[in-house]
Amino acid sequence: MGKAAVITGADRGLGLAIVKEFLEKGYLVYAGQYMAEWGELGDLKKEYEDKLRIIPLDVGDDSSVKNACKLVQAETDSIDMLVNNAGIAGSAGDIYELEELERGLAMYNTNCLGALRMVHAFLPLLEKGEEKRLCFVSSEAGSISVCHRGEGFVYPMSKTALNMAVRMLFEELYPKGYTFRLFHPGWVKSYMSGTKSTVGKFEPEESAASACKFFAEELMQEDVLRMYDNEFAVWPF
Amino acid sequence: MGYKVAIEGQSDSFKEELNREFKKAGHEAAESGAVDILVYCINPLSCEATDYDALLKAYENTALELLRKVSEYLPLLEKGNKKRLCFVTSLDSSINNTRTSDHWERIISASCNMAVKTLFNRLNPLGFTFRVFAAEDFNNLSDASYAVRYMLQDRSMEEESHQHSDEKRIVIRDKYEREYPW
Repeated sequence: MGKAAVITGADRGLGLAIVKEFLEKGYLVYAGQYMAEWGELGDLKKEYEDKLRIIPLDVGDDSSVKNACKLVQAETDSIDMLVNNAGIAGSAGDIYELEELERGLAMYNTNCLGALRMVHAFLPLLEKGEEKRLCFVSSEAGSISVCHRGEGFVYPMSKTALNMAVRMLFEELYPKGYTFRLFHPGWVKSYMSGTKSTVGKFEPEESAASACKFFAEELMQEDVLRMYDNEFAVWPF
Repeated sequence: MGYKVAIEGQSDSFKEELNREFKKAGHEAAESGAVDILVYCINPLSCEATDYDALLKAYENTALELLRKVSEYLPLLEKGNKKRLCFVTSLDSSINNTRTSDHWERIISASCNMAVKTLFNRLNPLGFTFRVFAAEDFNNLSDASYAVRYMLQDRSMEEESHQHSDEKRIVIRDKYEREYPW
């Protein structure tokens, strides 16, 4: 039987490109769909009818995550890999003219707690899988050591929270046989602010190719948690 | 003449102890007007890993509140003489040193550390200085005296090279003034 992966934030951009990569590798992919009106996952489904399952999913909502897990459980009792890609971006502006922080709370809820919800919900399925691999799309923005920003605040804060959450999950689950991938995708022309960015160094497909290689292959040192970027450079916390 | 000090954040007993220590050193609580030193205590309420509502609430009340408070105090600090921002974080907030999976509120403390670093990038070039003290335990009130000693230090004349002075970069220090990783 082939391997199975659950991938969040799969509608477009990096998430969609990761879905395509894993489909090409022969995985059965459960793709989390947040925006049903966005048609690209539907188009891909026509191409990979047997291998792609689209599941409605809002990682920021407890009941949505539970429902998504039930849908997967109805088909299989095991998955091999969970890829936490869903994320939103934004800014709280300058500290002298601080903007509304509601978006900052939403960012933390999606970017950090969303990944936690997914891990907790899907652990029983991962437990029965062969790979037991947990993957997280983080960002250099979450690295306190190299932080160069002087404004914005809330997006980097949400990614730092994610990095700490992954560290704590690693400490809990690595001794139980789980392996971890913490990934900074590089400066991608992403959709994280709503529409596809016109600036960036990498197309989503380029970063996704690196991501899938990193997520699927074995590392020399699985007992150490490190954040790697799409060019396989290590980033400090 | 002593400094006018404002203390905000979480942990009432620790804040009171900080207040006592500042008084002991000859400084007073800022009542209104100019503020010389702002201290913010990063001590989110304890949270379980799966209690997402508690983790959201603690983030709102600790991390986002940190931004609100600093923004609110900036005009008062501009009028003050010291322009110093101090934060009491916890040793547990270090991602590099975390080797356990308890106390999930640490994800919030770590995100606050990022907020502090970003504030440093913005405000240090404008003349603000920063102190980040890591408490071992907010219930251990004796940590407050170490915190205040560090917050009041001027380190520009220290023996370390100018580049490594705490006035030009931001570091976490513990009660022995050892540097602690993020």
